[in-house]
Amino acid sequence: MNFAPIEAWLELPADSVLEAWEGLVITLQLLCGSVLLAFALALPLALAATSGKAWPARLARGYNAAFRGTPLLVQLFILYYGVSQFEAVRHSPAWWLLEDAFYCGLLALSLNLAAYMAEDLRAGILAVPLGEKEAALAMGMSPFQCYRWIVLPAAWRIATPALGNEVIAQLKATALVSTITVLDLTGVARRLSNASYTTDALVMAGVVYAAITLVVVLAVRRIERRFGPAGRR
Amino acid sequence: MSRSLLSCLLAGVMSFAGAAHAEDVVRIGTLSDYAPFEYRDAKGELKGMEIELAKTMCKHIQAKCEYVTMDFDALIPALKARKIDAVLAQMSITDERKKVVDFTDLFTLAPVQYVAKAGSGITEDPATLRGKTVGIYSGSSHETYLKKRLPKSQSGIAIKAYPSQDPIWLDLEAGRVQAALTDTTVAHEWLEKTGKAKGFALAGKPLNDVAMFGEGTGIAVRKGDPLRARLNTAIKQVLTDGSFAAENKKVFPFSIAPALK
Amino acid sequence: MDDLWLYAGQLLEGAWVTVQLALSSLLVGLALGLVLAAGSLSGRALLRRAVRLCTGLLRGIPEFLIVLVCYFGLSNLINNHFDGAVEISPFAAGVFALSIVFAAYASEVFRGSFAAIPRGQIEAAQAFGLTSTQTFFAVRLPQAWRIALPSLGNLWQSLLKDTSLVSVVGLEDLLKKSNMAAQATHQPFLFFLAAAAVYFVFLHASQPVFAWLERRAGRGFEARAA
Repeated sequence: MNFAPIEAWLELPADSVLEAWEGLVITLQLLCGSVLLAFALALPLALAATSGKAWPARLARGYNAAFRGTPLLVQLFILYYGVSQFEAVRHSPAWWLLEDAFYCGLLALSLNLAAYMAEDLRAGILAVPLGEKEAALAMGMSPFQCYRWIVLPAAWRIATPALGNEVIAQLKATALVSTITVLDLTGVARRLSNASYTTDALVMAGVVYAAITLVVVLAVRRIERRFGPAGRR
Repeated sequence: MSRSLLSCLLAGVMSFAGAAHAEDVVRIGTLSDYAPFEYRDAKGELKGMEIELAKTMCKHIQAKCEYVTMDFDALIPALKARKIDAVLAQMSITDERKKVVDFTDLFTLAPVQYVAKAGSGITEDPATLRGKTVGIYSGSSHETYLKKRLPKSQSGIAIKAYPSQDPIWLDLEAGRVQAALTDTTVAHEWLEKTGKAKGFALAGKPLNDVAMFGEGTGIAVRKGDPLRARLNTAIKQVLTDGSFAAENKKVFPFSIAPALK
Repeated sequence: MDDLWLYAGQLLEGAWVTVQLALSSLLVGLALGLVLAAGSLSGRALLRRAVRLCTGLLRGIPEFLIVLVCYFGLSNLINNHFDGAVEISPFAAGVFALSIVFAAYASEVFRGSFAAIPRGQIEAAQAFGLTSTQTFFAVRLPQAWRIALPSLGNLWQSLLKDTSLVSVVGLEDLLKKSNMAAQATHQPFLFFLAAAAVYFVFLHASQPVFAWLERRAGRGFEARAA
């Protein structure tokens, strides 16, 4: 058994541990931030995709296909390096967001996750029995009320397991922002690893990610039990 | 059936394992995006001043040279892992690196300077950089210099590390970093040759810190590798017979040849 | 735009590397996934737990990190023990990393698929006098394969997208070639968009293939589905 990584961890100078901690904080900020933003975007996307209207549906489905059909890494590069190539963008109000690597990464992660969540929600909405929707409308509810009280709560319950898996997967996706100079946990681990010419820092970062994944999985399963298909209000 | 399966598996494994390299093959690790020293042209061929000199030097030491490109900070790990036998990538000879690898004699000089927007008031004086962000090449001696000599807590200078040279220029243009700390040679190439560096210029004087930047660059080899002596004779050859000067002249109006001892 | 045509040859070379990487990792990953699934279904508790731990770790660590560790760490490991006798190319390291990740997810899919085969099938096979091995290859595997196919299709799509990660360790796949072209011409938007388009095409070209595979695997079975 190779205990070198553990020994290396015990010998780490204090400022490396501090750096790693800061990286971890950034990773968690990216995870929570992107999940919230993605969900906020996914809801209108899913509604547009399941609406009967041609153009909103096409645009929403197109958005989902584009962001699910290309690698996240490419999306990150386009958003950070590609878009900043244009003078017009640099002088636009969007620049304060795109200029900072962290916010740029957060945006890319959110846009990407939103597409996946929108598809899950879309599947959930389509899985709600048509009879419930018809009954709601027959009782005189407006389309808005129908969605707000009948369709969406049911769709949310159906989609919860899939959405939960997306959240678990998103933690791993955050590691990619290290490629656009963000010093998240992976970014710090890469820097430490390069400086020491070993892979110990990377292995330790892996262990930390696995541990956080475990915590996230437990949290998500708890939410699933509460809100999911078998849950009760 | 199990015997043919075994031979299939074995063939599969062997196809991954390279043949143990013959004595006269030298795998040189280098960069693919560090013009004018080493870069790929539109056809994907590796070109550049150091590449041309390497071809000449390999003839001198009668070795067959293969070139492997990778990111700068992957070069020394690759050297240690025996993926490559030598590093030719404008790598400065620093004490820190000498702890892990051996270097040949001085190959080129590599003065270091800041690059910033003309008229920004940034010079080599750290006070002018307080509160600003400087872009550097990940794994370079420039990064070590900023981290050790001007740590953020004291100097107020934030650093952003990039995996290759070009993103530094892109972000400098975009304003994400207010200055870049690079080799004067590469800065010259970007400022003069690419035509995309309007409004930018070398900022201040070259930095003087031999402990951090070394006296120049050399070719790195594994510790104790006899290849070092062979490369030293080749370096001396190109420095004296004019081939270095000829390649130098093609790309720079100034000389980066080290003084011969 | 002219630059795009200038570098098109390079991009296509990179795309070919991507395809080779993905297909190799798929084959190795499927085989390894079956082995892991067998391990996780085994009677021996220790083996089951070891396999579950392995797959749990592989699914809980970012693929990106696994690629980095495999590329830098694998060679060190081999060199420390075998003194440089075997050389690992970046391609091999990439296939290794992507395969073990694929295998970890595939083993979960196969585990579920094997468990979903009606018990009656296996009992009938035993009643006919088939040995374990014969039962496995003639009865269990074809049916598990049919059940697993949709999920495996999703894993393939993820695999294809994950191949882009190896560009960071310098393997000259599609993304790396696009990166190099972008840097040489200072037109990152154009080349990254082009790369995205090629990945999109590859992913969408995969869908008919999987649809065909699903139809083929399900022949004779659809009559039963309501």
